[in-house]
Amino acid sequence: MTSDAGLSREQVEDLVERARAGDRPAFARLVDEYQDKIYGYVYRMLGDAEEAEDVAQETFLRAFQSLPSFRGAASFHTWLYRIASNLSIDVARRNRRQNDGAISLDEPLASEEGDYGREIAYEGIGPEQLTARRETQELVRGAIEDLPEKLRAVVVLYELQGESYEDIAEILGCPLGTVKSRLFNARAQLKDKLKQLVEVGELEVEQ
Amino acid sequence: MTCKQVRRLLVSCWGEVEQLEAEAAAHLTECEECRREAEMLRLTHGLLREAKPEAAPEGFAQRVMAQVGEAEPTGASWYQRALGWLAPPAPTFGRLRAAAVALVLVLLLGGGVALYRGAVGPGNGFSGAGALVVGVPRDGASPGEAPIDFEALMLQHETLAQTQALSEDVGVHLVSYRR
Repeated sequence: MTSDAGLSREQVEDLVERARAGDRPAFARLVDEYQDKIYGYVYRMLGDAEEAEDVAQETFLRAFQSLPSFRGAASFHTWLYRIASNLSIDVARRNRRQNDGAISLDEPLASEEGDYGREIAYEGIGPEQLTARRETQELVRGAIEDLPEKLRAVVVLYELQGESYEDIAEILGCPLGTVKSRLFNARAQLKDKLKQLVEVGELEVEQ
Repeated sequence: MTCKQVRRLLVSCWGEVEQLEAEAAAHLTECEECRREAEMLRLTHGLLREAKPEAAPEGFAQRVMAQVGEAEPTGASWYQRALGWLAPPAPTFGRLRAAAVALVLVLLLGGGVALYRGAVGPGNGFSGAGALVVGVPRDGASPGEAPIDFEALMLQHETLAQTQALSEDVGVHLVSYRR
């Protein structure tokens, strides 16, 4: 496995080795290299910039503190992702418990004919205030955030962060088959959510 | 080919009809519902591909390093090392690892719970029935109870709770905990 960031695998290994010995500038170079990946992932998992900053910072801090236990069996970037995953899934679960009672897109539609009376609860969307494209992106983000955490993690890692099945299995600590089945379910659920949005006229399909 | 079979294939290829085998493609020419499904999948995929990655905000790395400046690479505690040993990176060991981690959870938490039970006696709010419930004494617990290091226990729990995803396969659930 190679690092797909700008540094070569050898450079990463060298920096990790130095950081493990307490060399902070070496660790700072690693933070520079991986900050966008980790922040981008955590942001997509949590959907809140402030929370994403906290969790991404905590990821790097814990990584630094735990470096002595990193033995290079996994690549450094999957190891970082793994810390970020554990932290963000925990926070996302806690948020979900706190938000119990919010209207969910998961609720079934009332009838075949379409009693679409329920509200679609996306924070901060005022259709008039947003350009169409930005609004569409907000809807997509909302649909991703509406997925259960485990499916969300897989779809963000694979579809948005471009990680391989094998790396995702390592990051999430689950078998390859589980990654693939979660990805399948996540795609199907995302499609269903966007379909609902089209049906209620929140999203327009350009023909 | 049934609609259900065709739709499974459609999800796998994001509705790209050219990637379908002939039999499924033939089904699509006759089934409007499935064609609509394919279209929705292509739309969903297109929107996902448009989603721009969020870069770390200005000054993020500096803020991280300000925190790191005060920290030390401490190394792993004994239970982290144990988990590391139990959790080889190869994904093919997922199930085995889940079982091993679950066992550690049961031993650690079960031991702690048993200890607490022993200290305060039965009828203190623990329930069994296949789930582990971790109890934390309320503030102002009566004096004279055997000293239990709940903070240490909770610290272990917190680390282990992050492995909960692994333990779910074998039906171990950490039901609740309070700081």
